[in-house]
Amino acid sequence: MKRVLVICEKPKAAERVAKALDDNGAPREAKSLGVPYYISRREDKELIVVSALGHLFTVTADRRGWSYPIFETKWIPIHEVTRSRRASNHLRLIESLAKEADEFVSACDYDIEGSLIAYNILAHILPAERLKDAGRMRFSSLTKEALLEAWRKRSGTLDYPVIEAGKARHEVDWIFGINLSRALMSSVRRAMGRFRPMSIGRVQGPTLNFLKEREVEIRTFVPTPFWALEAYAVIDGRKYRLEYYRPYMEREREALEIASRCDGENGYVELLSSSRRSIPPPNPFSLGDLQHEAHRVYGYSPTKTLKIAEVLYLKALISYPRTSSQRIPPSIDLREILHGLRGIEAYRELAVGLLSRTHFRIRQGLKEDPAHPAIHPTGYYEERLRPHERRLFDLICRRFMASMGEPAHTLETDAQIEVKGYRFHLRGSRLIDRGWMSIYGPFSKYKEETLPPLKHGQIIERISVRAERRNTKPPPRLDQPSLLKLMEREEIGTKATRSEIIETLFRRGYIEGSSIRLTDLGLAVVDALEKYCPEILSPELTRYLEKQLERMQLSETNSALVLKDAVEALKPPLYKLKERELEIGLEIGSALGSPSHVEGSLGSCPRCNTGKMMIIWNKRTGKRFAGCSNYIKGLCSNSFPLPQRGEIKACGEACPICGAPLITLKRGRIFRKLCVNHECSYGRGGEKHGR
Amino acid sequence: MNAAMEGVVKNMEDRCLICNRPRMSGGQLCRYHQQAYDRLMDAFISWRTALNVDWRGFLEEVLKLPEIGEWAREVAENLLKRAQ
Ligand SMILES: [Zn+2]
Ligand SMILES: [Zn+2]
Ligand SMILES: [Zn+2]
Repeated sequence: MKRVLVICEKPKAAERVAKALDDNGAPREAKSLGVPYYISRREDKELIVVSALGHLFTVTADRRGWSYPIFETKWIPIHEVTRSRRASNHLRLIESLAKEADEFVSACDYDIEGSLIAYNILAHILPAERLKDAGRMRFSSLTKEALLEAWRKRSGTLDYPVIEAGKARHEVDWIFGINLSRALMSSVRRAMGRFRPMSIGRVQGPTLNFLKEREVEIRTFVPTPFWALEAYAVIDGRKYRLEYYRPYMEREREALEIASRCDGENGYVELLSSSRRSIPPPNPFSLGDLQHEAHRVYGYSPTKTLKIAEVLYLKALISYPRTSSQRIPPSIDLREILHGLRGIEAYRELAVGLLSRTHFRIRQGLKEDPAHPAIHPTGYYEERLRPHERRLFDLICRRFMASMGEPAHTLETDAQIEVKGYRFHLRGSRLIDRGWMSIYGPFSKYKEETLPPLKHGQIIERISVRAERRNTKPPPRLDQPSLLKLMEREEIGTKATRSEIIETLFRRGYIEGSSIRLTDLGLAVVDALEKYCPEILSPELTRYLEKQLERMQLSETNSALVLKDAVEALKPPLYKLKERELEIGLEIGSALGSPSHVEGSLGSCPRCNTGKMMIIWNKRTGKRFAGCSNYIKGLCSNSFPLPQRGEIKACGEACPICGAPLITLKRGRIFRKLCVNHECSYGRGGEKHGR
Repeated sequence: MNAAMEGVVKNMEDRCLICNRPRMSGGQLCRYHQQAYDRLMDAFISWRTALNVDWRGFLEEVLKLPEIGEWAREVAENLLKRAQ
């Protein structure tokens, strides 16, 4: 019997694939090295279904050491870097199972990362002539039907253009990230004498720059006053708000004058008009749309939403969530999905309503994704969902059905009311046909404003008018979803990486808070880069590379060319950074050092005996020296220059030769104990004595 | 460490009047505080048309508003001190 090794991306997916492909839906479960795998029977074949753990390989430098620049890379098993026992066991198991297999199929998620995960494993375990026969299953959901079809239609080769693009993307990002980050860290270490993890990359740079522009806008904002008229009328016992035809006025005097003339006066309906407005149904969700909406209605962060969506996908309840498509192609059987949803109590009525139509229409969005449709339910349901899983599932189901709904219609009414020659408006909006909103239900944003019945010429009595002072407001701080939207709009990063990049900026201490605030460190990093290599901050470069990577997927260019391009683009700014390490380090260092640029005491001052010798950073030169704390009191001006490189700590001892404090100086792995007094020979290897 | 010590260090250097960033050439402020200063000047023109206030009145009033940005606040506080 022929044996086929099927490689999935995650353990949960392997279980689903094995079940779907087994003739009896009951594959044999096995375990080795603590890793579960499955043996399925399918017609005349035996399928060994095993899983990776996401990426089992990673990019690294082709040589050891901490220097930069580095432009040569290689791929190695990820456990050699992370020391993950689990990842190592998965790879070992796949290697040993591969020995008994005749055929190889990739069943990883159908996108760049998935294609690359399977390729890296297969390329590692198979010789070239067998690798070219490995096949690929393509699917957008993990339902039995989708997987069976993917098996039947599996291709005879891996999707090489996508794999090449994926490899190049990892390599380009790694080269940018490692070199720029090392440049920053090396700068800080040179200036401050200490190590601090820092990073900047191809996508981090422009993202940080967007945040900086907003930050400066907010921190330099100066409000200016303006006035608006607050006008109300009571009609049939209910209070209605009137709008003056000018939404605001710049002069207090003018506003006060109109208010005092109109307040308490009668007005009359001068003009009455109404119009029907149609609100089309929303498009189905792309990942960005889903993240945005889940934040609006549930307050979930984009990362949280993606995590939950992935669980729902692995349970085969929704289609693949990492998609930028807002469209449902005709190949997807809407009737089938609705039949499924009909089985769920909460959606029965809605699904039956949609199924009773003679034909289905779905509102398509503009964005497309070559690999996947918009996020949609598969029609399956599982009772045992966690509360947040059920909530997100509800949002996805309702949105999917709403996108198949009819347009909603509103009636917009505008009554123009004249008061003492001044024009006001009374505006209302009423839903006359709920359409898709009855499906989307609690998630619809529409707010009704009802008006009383009004007639032309009708007198509105005693309108109250007040001038109210307001102040202009700064633009809001971005939160994670709005930053994500901005990155999407500016086309930087990919749907798979954007939220991770935002998290990195938080972890590095460049930004903080749910309303994102740039920290002093974040600002210093942007400032330094702006001064010495603005290319890294501009979205142009990263957008250009993004385009090249997309073209690779269409086989319009190849990875060698793209990598060469990327390295050439990186070289000029990188060399500038390397040349200016010290200056950059000083600038960033002053943000790192603050607020206290005076560090701890080294010990008593040998001159005055009452003061303490402190390490003081000169913020301009970035140099440090030891100064007596009595200096501020005007009592002692004792000071010593300090070595500028290495970490300095107090020893807690006085020098046996001159009485000044002894310090330890750590440079790399080398410790030295010496006297803080630079003119003293203690610990200075006797240079003073000319030995 | 105490503020006085920081003052000593700061005075030795060629820094922005308000913060630790380098001065813009020919000015007393760093680029960000300078930008805040320019926006205060622009805003003063609007305030004068709107409310008929003088320079000091403007600074006092604008400092009471929560919408003012922190760099603009620092510059306004500094200018107010000098206006007194
Ligand atoms: Zn002293
Ligand atoms: Zn000594
Ligand atoms: Zn400043």
